Amino acid sequence: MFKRHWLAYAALWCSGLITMLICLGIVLFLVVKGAHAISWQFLFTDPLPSMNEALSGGILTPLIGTVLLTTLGIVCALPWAGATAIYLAEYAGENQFVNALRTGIDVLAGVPTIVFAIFGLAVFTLPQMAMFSTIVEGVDNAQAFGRSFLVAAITMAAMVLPFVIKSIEEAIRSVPPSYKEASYALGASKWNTISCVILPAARAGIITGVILGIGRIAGDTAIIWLCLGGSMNMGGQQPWWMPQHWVSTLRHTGSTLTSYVYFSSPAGEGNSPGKAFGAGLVLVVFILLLNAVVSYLGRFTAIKEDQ
Amino acid sequence: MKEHSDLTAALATATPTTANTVTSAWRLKQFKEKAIEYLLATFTVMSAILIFFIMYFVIRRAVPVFQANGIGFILRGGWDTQFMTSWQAPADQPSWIFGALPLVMGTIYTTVGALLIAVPLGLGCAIFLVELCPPWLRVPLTTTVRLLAAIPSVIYGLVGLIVVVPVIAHTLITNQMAMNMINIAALDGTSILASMIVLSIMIGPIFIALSSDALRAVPRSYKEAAFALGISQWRTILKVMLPVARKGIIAGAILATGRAIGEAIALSMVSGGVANLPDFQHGLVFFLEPVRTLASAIVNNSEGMIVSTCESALFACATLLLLSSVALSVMATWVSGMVRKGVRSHV
Amino acid sequence: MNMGGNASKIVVNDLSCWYGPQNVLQDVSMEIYAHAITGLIGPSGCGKTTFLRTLNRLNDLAPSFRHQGQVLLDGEEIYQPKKDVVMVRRRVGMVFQQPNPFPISIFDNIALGVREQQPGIKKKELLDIVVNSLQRVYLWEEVKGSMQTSAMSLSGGQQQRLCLARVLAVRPEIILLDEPCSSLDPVSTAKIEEMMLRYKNEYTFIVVTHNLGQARRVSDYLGFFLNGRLVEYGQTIDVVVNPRERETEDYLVGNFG
Repeated sequence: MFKRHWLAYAALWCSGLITMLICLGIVLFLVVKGAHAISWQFLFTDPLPSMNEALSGGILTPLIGTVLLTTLGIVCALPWAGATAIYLAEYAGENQFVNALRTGIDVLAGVPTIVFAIFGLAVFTLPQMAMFSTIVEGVDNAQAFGRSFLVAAITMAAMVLPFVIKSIEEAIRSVPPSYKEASYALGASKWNTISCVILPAARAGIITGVILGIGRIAGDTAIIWLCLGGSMNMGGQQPWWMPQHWVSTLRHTGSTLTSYVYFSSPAGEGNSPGKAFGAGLVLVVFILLLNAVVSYLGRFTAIKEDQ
Repeated sequence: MKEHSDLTAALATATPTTANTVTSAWRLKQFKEKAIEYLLATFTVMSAILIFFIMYFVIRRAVPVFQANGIGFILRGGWDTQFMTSWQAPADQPSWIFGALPLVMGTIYTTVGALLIAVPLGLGCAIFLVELCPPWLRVPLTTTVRLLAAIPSVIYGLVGLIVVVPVIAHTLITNQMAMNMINIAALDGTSILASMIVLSIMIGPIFIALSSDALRAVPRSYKEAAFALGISQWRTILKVMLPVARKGIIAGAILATGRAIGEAIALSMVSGGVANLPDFQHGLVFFLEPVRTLASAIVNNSEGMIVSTCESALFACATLLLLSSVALSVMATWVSGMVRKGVRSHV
Repeated sequence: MNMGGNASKIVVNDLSCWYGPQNVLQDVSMEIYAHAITGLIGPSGCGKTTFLRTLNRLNDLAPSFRHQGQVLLDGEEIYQPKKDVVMVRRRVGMVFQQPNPFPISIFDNIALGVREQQPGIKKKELLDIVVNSLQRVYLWEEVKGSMQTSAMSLSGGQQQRLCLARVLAVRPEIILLDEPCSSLDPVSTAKIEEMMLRYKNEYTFIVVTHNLGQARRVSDYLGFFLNGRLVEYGQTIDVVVNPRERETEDYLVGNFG
């Protein structure tokens, strides 16, 4: 009987250690494979259309694409998610209707990103939505192209919405009720209390939610693939970074680190795995930094609660 | 809403007397409070009905294919040839015949396979984390689990394609095997097995996080009671902790299933490029056969979007994914709702 | 200092305990006598519960727990490095302040421990043990029609008696009771007291209580704890009627506590 216990303990230890080893293995592999691809030149040149790995350039535009897309995406998601979270945490009571709303948001969290992607495509190829991308020329029934930074950003915003709502709502709920009571006791109205007392107190949690959203947007590939399109460089009027071309850039296709990794991998067309690992390492470092900030903020709030 | 705006308009034109000013300022403030509440409620309702919006847009475009094929869409095979036919069909004779059975089965095989690896390993890891882990190991272990959850799927796909797939191709697939299968599918390492491994690493962290939460939520008093009855730690875990945490663990497994079903990018990289329907009669070679899942078909066949028949077929795949993910989410909420109710009755 | 003629079951020598830097017990020495009921009284936070939990090593669950001194069970140190803690707990059972039945059926609550200790026990024997234990806590009549319903559907008093029954069923030599009646109705309290008095020749009971009346009614020996020290210990009648220490007297007449 006790011998069997010994086996069980061994199995539990193994599963814990295997999990750690897998993770360390992946990270180390990524670092080893990616580190020698990374150089200043790799980071600061545009990708070039070449089948030869040595001549295929760097990741400047994908890097900018990731930053641009995450910024746009979170800017779209934040007001929407914030409003929903405030309503759910402060206004909504406990009734059937609110439960139905919550279920709707929970279900949204389980929808695969590829479905969001195809949904984005379905919406933004409608001719009425042409302002977000471009009109396809030479087609009889005018159809919008449906692939651009704007389209991808809005779709991403819908994708991260439930996660950001959940973490902001949690942050608001964890504000001690005494703060609220003190504010009401001073005669402040509900909205004043929320905007001047509760939201500042929940600041760290809200930032955590935003960062989680950024991490999800930066890491997603399916939406990029369908809604941002496949060109390696910016698609609008060139040079894309001139202020008078910004609108055109946003309405055209581009690339991000994830789509660069996909393209450069043996699964895509570029077939330069060394560069794929380089870009992957940059992406993982970016996401790990975000996570580090989150856990730092988490520790900060935990300490504050202790005191 | 209308009433309120009329009211403000009336107030704004009213001649201010001292008494009136106080009331009107107060009314204005009340109005502002109400307006904000309605605005927030509107956003909330929009967030909640977004799911119906998605359903409407996705299902609407899938309808023609479902109409043409009926239930046959998920019972018939031949996806790859049908897709090519539709793609090449002249515009005035569109071909609406599609059978997604290989995709459906591919999704089921890879998902079940990933669960077979991830659930035992993840449950072991969760128990280890909650019950056995020495304090010095706790932080590194939770950090690695969180790290695994944060790595983007395209990275898993890349590592799978560069490491797992070649290993399978070189160690498990023999020339003889490849020759035997040559008329069915090319065995190049992209396979169910590779998908199982990559997927299980992707869904593992979610399952570990949710099931360790469930184990941690078991009241300490149950553990103490079991110990005071002279039950050993392992038997306590087996007979008390796991049964009490059962529903939370099941909910975790359901959510992990949802994640596995919907994974597109990583699987499009490692599962193989053909809509092959693996056959159990091939024995263990079954695991080495390439498949294509519903989600990865949308990625791999996305260039077909410009043909309306192909587009509709891909939307039909998305519909299947959407409906199953909604069903899984509702199931998970239902199960964990029972947990919440159960806990409340304990207290 | 044998005070009653009973053999001593547990001997505690100079026991001191810490949770992290906090010293919760200081130099406690006492003998617990077999087949008697020992009551432990004292104001909250005085270390009674900690003392109780050192007797079956349940304090091991707290990582910051540290102790010094000896706890001898039938002359054997229970804190020896090689001692099997599970075997110690099989000999020393415990009932807690809050009723904590497992969220499974009433029958399984009792059967679980019995099956663990006697793997392969026959169905008939198991049933006998379950019924007998429930009868001992006067619960059988109340639950005999609903053995398969969840223990969570019982009232608080019934749950606590079920917890007692499941400890009785595994036949430990010693049963520790940590304020078992503090959240119970008078009827259940009376039934638990009656059970202790009736079966004390089969078990050894150590009961922590806040209720002086209860201590007087059931205990043969009484120990008074204050600020982590055992201030006074003796036969209940002596301690209650004629306390030696000033603090004990103050506590008994209600000057603090």
